[in-house]
Amino acid sequence: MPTTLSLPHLPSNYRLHIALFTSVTNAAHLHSQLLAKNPEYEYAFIDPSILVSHLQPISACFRAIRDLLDPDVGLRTPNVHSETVFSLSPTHNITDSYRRFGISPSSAAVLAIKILDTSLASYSESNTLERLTSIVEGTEVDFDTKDIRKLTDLIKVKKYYKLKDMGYVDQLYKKKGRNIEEKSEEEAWRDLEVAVLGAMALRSLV
Amino acid sequence: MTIAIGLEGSANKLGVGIIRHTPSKPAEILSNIRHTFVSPPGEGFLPKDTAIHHRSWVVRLVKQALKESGATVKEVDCICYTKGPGMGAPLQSVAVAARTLALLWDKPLVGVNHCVGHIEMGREITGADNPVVLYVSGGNTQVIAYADQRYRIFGEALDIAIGNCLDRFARTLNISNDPAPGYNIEQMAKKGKHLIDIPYTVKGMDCSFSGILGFIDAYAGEMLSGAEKRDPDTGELITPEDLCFSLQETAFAMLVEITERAMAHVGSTQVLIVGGVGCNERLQDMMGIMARDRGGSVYATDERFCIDNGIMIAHAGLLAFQTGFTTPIDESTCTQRFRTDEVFVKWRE
Amino acid sequence: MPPRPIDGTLLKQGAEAHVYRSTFLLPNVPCLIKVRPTKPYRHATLDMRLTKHRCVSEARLLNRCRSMGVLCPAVYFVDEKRGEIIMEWIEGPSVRDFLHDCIDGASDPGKEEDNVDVRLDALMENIGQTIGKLHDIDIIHGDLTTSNLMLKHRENSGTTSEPQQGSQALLTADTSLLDFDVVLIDFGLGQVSNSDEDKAVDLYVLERAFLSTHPRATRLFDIILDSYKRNCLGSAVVLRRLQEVRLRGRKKSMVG
Repeated sequence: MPTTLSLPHLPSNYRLHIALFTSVTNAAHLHSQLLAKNPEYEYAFIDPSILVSHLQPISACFRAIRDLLDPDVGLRTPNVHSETVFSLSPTHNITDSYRRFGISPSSAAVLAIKILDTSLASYSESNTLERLTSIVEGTEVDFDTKDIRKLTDLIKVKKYYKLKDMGYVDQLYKKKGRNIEEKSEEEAWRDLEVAVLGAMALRSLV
Repeated sequence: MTIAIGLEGSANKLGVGIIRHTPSKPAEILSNIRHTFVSPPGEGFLPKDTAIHHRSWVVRLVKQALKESGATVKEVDCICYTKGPGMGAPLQSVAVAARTLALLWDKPLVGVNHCVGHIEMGREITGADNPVVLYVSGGNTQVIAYADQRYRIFGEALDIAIGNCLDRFARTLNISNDPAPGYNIEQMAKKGKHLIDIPYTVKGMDCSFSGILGFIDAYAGEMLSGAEKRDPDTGELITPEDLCFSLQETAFAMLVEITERAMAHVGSTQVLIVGGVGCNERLQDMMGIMARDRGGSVYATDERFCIDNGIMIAHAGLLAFQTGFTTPIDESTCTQRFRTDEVFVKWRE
Repeated sequence: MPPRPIDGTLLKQGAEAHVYRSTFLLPNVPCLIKVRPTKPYRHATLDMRLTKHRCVSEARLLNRCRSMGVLCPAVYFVDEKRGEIIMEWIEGPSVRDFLHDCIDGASDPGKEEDNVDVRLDALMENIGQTIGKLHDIDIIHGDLTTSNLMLKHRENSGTTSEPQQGSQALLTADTSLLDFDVVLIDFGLGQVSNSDEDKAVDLYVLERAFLSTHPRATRLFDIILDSYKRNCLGSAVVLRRLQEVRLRGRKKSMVG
């Protein structure tokens, strides 16, 4: 089932429609339509292997919508969907952000997000969800952290978000021969999640 | 009813004041006169020259103050003098004068802390009962609040005082020392409009002005040697007036910020500004806006009391004298360093 | 930049910042929003510059601290132009409140005082270790007080859980204090520095805050220092420096 939600601190008429797919077969087509700027394909298509939790893409949407609505900031990319992909990035390089966080022609898993203003007369929830679940050809799975983490490529995440200093102090103490209590798997994921959210939040400050 | 004469000379002003305290009545200022040693533009006042100035004027000033007050020597209960802090030579010359008067007239001496003098006079004049005090002068920058019989220092300038920063800046720009460099900077700042980016250094409730001085001295130096400085937005030339404006806006914002922190810390909404820099109307305005935002108000005095004077020494000395405090003649020294919080404030609850 | 109305509960209106409790992204993710309001007494350009600079500096420090492995609120979102930081909500009492409750609790006839002491000692050990870690990653907090140290129940359920642990629960709970983490908050005066002097002053600030808390605090602060000494790699030099800082006092003597 796709997820729909509105975000706190933003006008409630801005709604996210999110669906996660595995075993995707039409990534090449989706990618080509993005390059062709086909308005029918104006979605945020995200590569889920760079995601560590469900908060990460929602946070990117939050930022994209906030920048869209803020006359002092505005979008740096053509639309709120491309801006969402860009908002996943810890740097200002837009091209890199599409390549690293967006889908590639060979993607086997896709997170698709559609952001719409529900106050517009043209808005229909059922049409939106129907289109969202059919535009990507693959197996829809739940959009939740558990399913996302099955797809995470930790090496890529650490590289793209420049997380080599993560847990630096424990490593330092280990080198000095101290016994450091291993973190639980859940704690390690949580650390990773907040490190990624932090890197995204600090993008503007780079 | 008690009467005190106060002698102040810790910096370049020599002041003599006579005050009368009557129980449950406001203090009466019988006289309050001052003579200032003004150095030429581009020069500060040297201790030696200042001491000579004080020595040559003190007798005239005491006589004139007595005459104006209408009080007789017999009616005077004590001789108050500034024990410190301040410049050594000028302090000593005034202490000698005070001791001489005490022996001549056979009156007890009361050594007074200069900063406490400012605070007590400010409270008396403005009616602020328990304010956070910003004490800003040529030698001091302190944020003070009263607790448990002491004026405690919550924050201060870690290097040079704000007044010193203004004075030295005036020297760089060759601004006149008459009537005071800070006054002339204030007048020039009114004509400034471009804010240049100056180092802003606040650490908790402390601040620092040496970075500002270094920066603006270098900037002004380049300007004076012919380099054109322009505002990045308008492309207009930066003028000496803009420098004065920028200096005031930045340095005073730092002072207001540390004062606000202290007010939040002690839960006070009153703020009293004392000391020579406290005369500055822009500083008073800024402080007023901050205090109003906190639901309180600012108290300030005019140049008669802000600038170093004898009456504040007489007033604070008399408060101490009334609690039984005197300074024996063989202990009537002065000291360049004398912290505000060293004074036991017996006269307050 | 016009202030933006904040959707949340105002918790504290300090001299520097307003603090709200709210939620981030989802209703089950509590957050804290710290806003540095415009100061109308300041020149608008200067105000903007300071607000932005401080907001950026604090967000960077929090991120560095958390990411390198010392617990502090994670940064969720930064709007430096409006001086806003949205950060992780830390549920738990401050060490200040906890100590107060301990003192009240200890005077309770029904309570085992020894037990309280054991818990306090464990907590002090933990504080010393946490500050040691902070200094080993060259972060100076700048305002170490018992209010800026929080106690957070250690939990394993990720972002969504939010155990309601007050200090009373912490005191009376059967679990040992080792189930609680010390979390540092409010890095508004912090900086990155490897200077022993800065680290020593950091400890000195905490010492003064502790000693003004209550009479038993001397013993407690000694445990913190002992733990710092054993845990922090650079502790020897910093503690020597602390002796000097103490002698000097924070306040220099002054000239009129």
